Amino acid sequence: MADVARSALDSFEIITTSGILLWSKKYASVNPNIVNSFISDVLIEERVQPGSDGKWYKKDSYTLKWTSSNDFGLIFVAVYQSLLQLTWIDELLDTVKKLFTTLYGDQLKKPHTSTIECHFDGYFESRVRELEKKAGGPRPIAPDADGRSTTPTIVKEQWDAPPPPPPMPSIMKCAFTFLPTLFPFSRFRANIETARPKPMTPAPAGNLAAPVAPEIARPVSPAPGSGSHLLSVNKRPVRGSRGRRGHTSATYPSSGEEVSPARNEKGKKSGKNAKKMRRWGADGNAEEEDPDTVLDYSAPNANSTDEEAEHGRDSTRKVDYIDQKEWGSKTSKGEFVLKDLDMEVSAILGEPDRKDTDAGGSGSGLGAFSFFRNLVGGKVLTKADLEKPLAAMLDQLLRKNVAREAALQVCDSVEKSLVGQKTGSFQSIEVPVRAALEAALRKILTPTNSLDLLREIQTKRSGRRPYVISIVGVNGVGKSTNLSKICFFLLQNKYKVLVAACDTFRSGAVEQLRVHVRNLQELTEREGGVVELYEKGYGKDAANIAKDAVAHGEAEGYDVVLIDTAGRRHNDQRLMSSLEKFAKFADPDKILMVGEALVGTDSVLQARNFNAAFGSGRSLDGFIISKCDTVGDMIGTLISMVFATGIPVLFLGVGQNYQDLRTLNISWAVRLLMS
Amino acid sequence: MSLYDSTLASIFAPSPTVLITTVLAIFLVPIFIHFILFRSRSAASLPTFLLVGPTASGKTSLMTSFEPATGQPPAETRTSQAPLSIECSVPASIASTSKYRSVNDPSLKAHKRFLLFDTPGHGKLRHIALASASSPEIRGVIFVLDSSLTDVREVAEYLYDVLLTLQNSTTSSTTTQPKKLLVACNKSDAFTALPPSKIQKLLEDEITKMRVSRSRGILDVEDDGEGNDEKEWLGEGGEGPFTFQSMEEVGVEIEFKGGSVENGEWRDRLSPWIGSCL
Repeated sequence: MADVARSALDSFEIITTSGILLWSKKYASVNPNIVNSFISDVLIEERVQPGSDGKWYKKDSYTLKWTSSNDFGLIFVAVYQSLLQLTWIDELLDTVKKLFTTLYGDQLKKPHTSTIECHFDGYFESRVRELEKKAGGPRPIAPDADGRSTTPTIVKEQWDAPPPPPPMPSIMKCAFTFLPTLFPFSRFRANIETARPKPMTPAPAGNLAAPVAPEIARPVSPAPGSGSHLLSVNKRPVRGSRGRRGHTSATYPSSGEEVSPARNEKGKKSGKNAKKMRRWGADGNAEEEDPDTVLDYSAPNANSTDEEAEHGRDSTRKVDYIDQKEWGSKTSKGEFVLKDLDMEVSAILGEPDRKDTDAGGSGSGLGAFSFFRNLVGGKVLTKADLEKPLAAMLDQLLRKNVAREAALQVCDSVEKSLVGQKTGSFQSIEVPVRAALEAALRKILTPTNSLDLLREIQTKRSGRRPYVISIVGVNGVGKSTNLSKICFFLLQNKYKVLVAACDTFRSGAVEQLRVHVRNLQELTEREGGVVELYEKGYGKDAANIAKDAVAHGEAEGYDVVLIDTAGRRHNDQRLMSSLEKFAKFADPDKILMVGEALVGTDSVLQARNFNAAFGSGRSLDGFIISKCDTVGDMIGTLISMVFATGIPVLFLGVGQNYQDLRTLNISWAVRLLMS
Repeated sequence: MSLYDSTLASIFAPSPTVLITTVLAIFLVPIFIHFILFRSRSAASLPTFLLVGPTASGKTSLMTSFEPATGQPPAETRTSQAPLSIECSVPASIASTSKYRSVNDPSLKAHKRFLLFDTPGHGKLRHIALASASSPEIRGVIFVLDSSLTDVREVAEYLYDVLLTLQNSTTSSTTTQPKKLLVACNKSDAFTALPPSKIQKLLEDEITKMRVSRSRGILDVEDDGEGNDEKEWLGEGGEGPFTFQSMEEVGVEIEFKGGSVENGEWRDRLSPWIGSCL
């Protein structure tokens, strides 16, 4: 095909969690930093871009979509231009994941190596081409794309084909070779009888298929969703083949015969070697008389109706067109190879479904063994297994005063990271769940960069401008108290500190600060600390006072300016909006928010609203969690606030004295939360 | 006779069925359990070298450049989220124990195998590296950094944590074996790259400042403020400027080397150091 090298995709990458690019396909050059920042933002820091719902990630002009495979530690990332609306990316990701893990799963499991030998290009390209065609794609599609589906051509084609492998369709065969081994035939049959009335309707192939197809063949045609639950036994294999029928649509006519060996092969559960398949086709010649042949007609027919509906094209015109195209493709050797790939691809994509049914069947028979398995470990975790321990974990988190929203999301991410993993020997499910939760909490609390305030003041203080710290928060959480604690800490480190009283609203706020400053002056006099209060009384605009205070501090040679602000309710738009102006005027180096450890569910909203209040260019720099001594081990607020914003906890307030300020010890917090 | 009695009797009777079942059970159960338990266990653990360093410094690339050549160009890399170890080897002749061997010793022809353990450098995931740095299997730590040194503070911060972990593990352990750390100044081919000696100087200055500010910083929640000073002061006591040389006194040997993954230099430059640690 002419436009193989072009695609709506810009690149597709398969990366291990340990950072090695196993395979990639580049249609246009994409800076690796895009993928890198995606990994650190979304996968490591778990920041969700607003509106994306965790489904996509936008960076520069690119949109990224991804899926991951926990059992192999793989991430599949598709990068495309944000301008394009590609609907088939999700399907591509899923099918590529399935293909890649099936093909190279063994190599991926090997320890102590980073490379695998893979020749994935062919598989991938055939998938992309099919999906692009199916979706109608944003690119101009080669005219042959939809044109080949009318039945007459294919019939003719089949007889004309030089080596006519059997058109043996399969699904039937599939059902016979495979299912009866697991289920009593009578039951199978009974299911079919009951399910029969339904399949008739959706089958577009009706008129052609009906006269020849035997009874049993019919359940094959229903759309996956339309089958009754009674059909569940044979539903899955059917869906697999149906799916692939859609996929092969593009390449159908020239390989009308070859398609069937693939199904044939699928039914027999044989190897995936493409070359073999063709030989088999020759073998199966005898089976050509099989009455099931009819089903084969139905397949192209179904496609044609689909596609006609989609593109609304004239079918007679197509006939001519296809004919030529078919001849062309038949002579081409390369074309044949691709067909084989397609078959192999669809065989693999169909396979896992069957495996599922398999497991379902054997599970019930060998209940004792699976029980033993559970006991001994080495079990692959599924969503259902995790439900119970995760519910327990959720309870645990809620008991520790973590806000429900945060707790649910933490459990969600734990679940995502665990599904598909294997438990160790003699290990119950609780052990890995606990470990994963611990890791998740640790990851949330760990800051991305240094929190060394002293070092930061040293480096940031270039020129005469003092280092400005402002403190915000809801009413009564302890803003002034924590400000004076920080002030005490800075004074002990011989800094010259100016305290600005910008709470011009609550009566007594300035006096309160004056008392603190007087106390601190007395306490640190001997050690040579200098602290002054900058006040302008009540009723004035806080932003202006803050600006003046910084200017005053600069003129008088202060090292640090600490700005106290009025407490405000986080959902009061009027009060919150003044913060933006404040941030612009005072331009603080650090904006710290004080949050109470006592607050529960509200903590998430508090943190979010305050974080958003400073305008688009500015956010909070850290939290001070006050009153930690009053809650014992119920320190869930820490998690809620950090989780909601991704902003680290700088200090904890643990008492009434000036020295009762502490930094966060992550293992301590995690231990308390897990206890 | 009741059913119960007859069952008991048949079990205790010396019938061939019972005998065979018992014998089979005796022999098969241990084998069965063995396979379940030990199937996935790997054999003896190899000496391990830890790769640490800030994100985007080239740790994973350095590791893959050590991988036995497969004829393909080394894989590209992206930000790591999980650790990975790969098995590599150096010629046995450069291992430190080999100097006592005869030149004709056939064991010199063999290769010394070891593991390179790559860790993620992202701020949130450094605890993986720090937790494994003190384990006894670690023969040496390779700290990889970008020679352009755009953010000295961040690099120094991480290096400080690594050094402190190593120092605490040597002072708490009974062995006198020093811990070895190699600072690999990667990307030396870049235009903005600094020479290793300059990097060493910058890092020493930064750590000196950091050491002071950390000692004056606020205690963490668990800390009662007593008797922990030694554990948190990097290097030997005494104010003064920090030097990497002084770390030898607390059992950590540090070496600086420059090189570039792009030019494929690390294999040759690191092999002698790795050999000396084996």
